[in-house]
Amino acid sequence: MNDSVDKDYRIHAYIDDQMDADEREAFIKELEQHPELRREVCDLHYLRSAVRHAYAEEYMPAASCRKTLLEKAGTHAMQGLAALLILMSGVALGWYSSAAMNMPYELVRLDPAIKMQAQKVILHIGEADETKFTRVLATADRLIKQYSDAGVEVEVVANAGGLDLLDADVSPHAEKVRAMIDQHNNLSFVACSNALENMERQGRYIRLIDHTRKAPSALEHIVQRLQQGWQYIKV
Amino acid sequence: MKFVKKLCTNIKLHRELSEQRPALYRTALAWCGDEMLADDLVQDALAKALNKTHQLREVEKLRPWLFTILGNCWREHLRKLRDFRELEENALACTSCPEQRFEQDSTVARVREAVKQLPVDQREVIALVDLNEFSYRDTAEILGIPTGTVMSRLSRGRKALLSRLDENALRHSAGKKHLRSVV
Repeated sequence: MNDSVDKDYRIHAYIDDQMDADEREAFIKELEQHPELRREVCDLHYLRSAVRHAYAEEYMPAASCRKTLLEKAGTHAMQGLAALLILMSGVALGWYSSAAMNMPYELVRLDPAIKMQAQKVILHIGEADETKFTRVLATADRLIKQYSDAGVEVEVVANAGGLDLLDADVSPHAEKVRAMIDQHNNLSFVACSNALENMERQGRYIRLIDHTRKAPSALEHIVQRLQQGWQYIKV
Repeated sequence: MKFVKKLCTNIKLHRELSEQRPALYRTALAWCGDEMLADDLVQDALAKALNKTHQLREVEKLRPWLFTILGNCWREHLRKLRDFRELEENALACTSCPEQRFEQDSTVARVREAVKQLPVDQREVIALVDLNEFSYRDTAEILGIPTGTVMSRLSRGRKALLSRLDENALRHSAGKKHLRSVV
């Protein structure tokens, strides 16, 4: 390693706190004697803070806050733990046979038997938000195209305000949704019947885009898919 | 009780995975430069991590382990891109319209653009060291390269970034002077 390369690496190691105490001491002495070296260190400090600033959390889009299976898993795990404790106290009271002690893993979401299938994805839209409509369609489109060889399956599940996306009379993307349904067998749009009924009770009748499927309840449908190993993305 | 202990460890592990999400996202964004793709990569990485938690021997190694998985997802994506080259959005993008000019004026946009223009291998190292404060050794392990290579990529990457940002700043100030002379 020649001297200039060595010097260069040492500047970075100093900036990144990769030196031991002796090396740092020696380098600081060098800094005291060489203003040019101090300038280089200063430049790199500036650069690092500029890079951190550019990717700081406040500049991250809402997309980075998508709900993931992790949160689901955490919630289910807590529910599982609660269920387990109830079961165990039941056992203590003699309500269950000793065999009940051996069943718990099946109760929780962390069951290793549930294999996640990267190529099966649920996109959940629950708000009447034009930006999110565009995003959910773009994501579905991209997943379908990018992973077509891997046998990808995508379901866009809509409830609450998200049903506007599938309303043939008001959806700004009705044509696009129709075209996507026609074009891809592995993509389906699912509307929540509960939400449709609620809206009907409030006097709004939604005429769904043709070939949109219905699920009795969006949430139950999502939970069912999760149990089957699908990935869940809240848009 | 052994089961309860295991379950609690799992819950803790899942919570920690969740907590790493913003850092993974930042890194993925610095690598790929596309918000939606970054989100997909993180989603993919977390899904794989969830499936492989049994492979994690020490919980203390969670961060490097997670970033290794993210790196693998990123490389898998790059491999796919090689076969299926997408239309370069930049080739068609407007470079002189007002929105674009406004964008270029923001520090965040300028730095991200400069990072995006770096070669992939330099971007990878810079994101791990600068954004996540990984040591050179951890970075080397995550990317599967020697520590010396980490240092050389870091040095070249930072040099290129500095010079790009300098150029942008010069162009930016030249633009302002021009406007003043018109007024």
